[in-house]
Amino acid sequence: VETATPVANGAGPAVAPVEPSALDQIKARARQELAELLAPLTARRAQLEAELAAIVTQEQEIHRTRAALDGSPSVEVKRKPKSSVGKGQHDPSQKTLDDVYAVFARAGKDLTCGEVGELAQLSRTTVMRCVQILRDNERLRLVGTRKEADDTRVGGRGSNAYVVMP
Amino acid sequence: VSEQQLTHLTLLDVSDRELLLLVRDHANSGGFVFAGQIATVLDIGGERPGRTVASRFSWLKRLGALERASKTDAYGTDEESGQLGWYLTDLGLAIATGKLKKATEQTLDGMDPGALILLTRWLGGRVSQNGVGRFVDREYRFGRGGRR
Repeated sequence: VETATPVANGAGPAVAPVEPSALDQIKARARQELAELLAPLTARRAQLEAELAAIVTQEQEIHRTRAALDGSPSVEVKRKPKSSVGKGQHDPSQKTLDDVYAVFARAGKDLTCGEVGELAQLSRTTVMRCVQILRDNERLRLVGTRKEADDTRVGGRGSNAYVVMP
Repeated sequence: VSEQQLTHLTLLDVSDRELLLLVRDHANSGGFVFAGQIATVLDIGGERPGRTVASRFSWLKRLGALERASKTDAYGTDEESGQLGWYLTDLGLAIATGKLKKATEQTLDGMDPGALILLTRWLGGRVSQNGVGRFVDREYRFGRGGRR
């Protein structure tokens, strides 16, 4: 890597090499700046999701109260059966679903939830929930089980592996 | 679906389409697959994992999606267990890999609720003539309920 520096004799800019360590420092600083930019956005998203959940709850309360005042039977929100996956969490966003699907589509081979989590930088639980929905929509399919690369348990069960539905 | 080991194989654990695609993926050179083989692929636990898969295969056979090998079929018998294999029928392959044409999909997407009900009525009559009614029932049940 080279950079232009002014020269005192006016003969034009001379080219001086930049130390690789200096480049690494620039990269590290850029990474840090990007991480600092990302952190408030992530926090803001979490805050907005929490606000949205609160608004939906309030809305449902109002509908129930209004139904009670009108004397009509209240319309209960049909709850989904409890699942061992993502307990207490709401459905992942469409963007998350698309991201997870894109990882599978790009991979062109079967992947486990743990592997997708690493590639998409999502928690394994979120990926599992996404996979569940994508399987319901017939966009992914189960192809079997296999051990993940970092699974060192002896005799432990492998993880489910999935691919894109043809 | 959790990552726990399966000890059964219901429609919600593995859909018919997924199971048929596994048959396609793991078929030997004669086009046959064995129940024990799929039980191993899915890591099904319990005393008789092969029987769990065979039970679902039998159901798919009744629906016309799978057929059983005969003793005279080349590659149709498992050398270790002596059990007969299973293979995909044309209907099974269509269910596993078939797709609606884009134009058909767009037409269906654009239908209003009234037209959808009329279509369902028409479908009810049509499938009972074709003998795939039970399969359509399962598809409808799976599509409405899903695993969630």
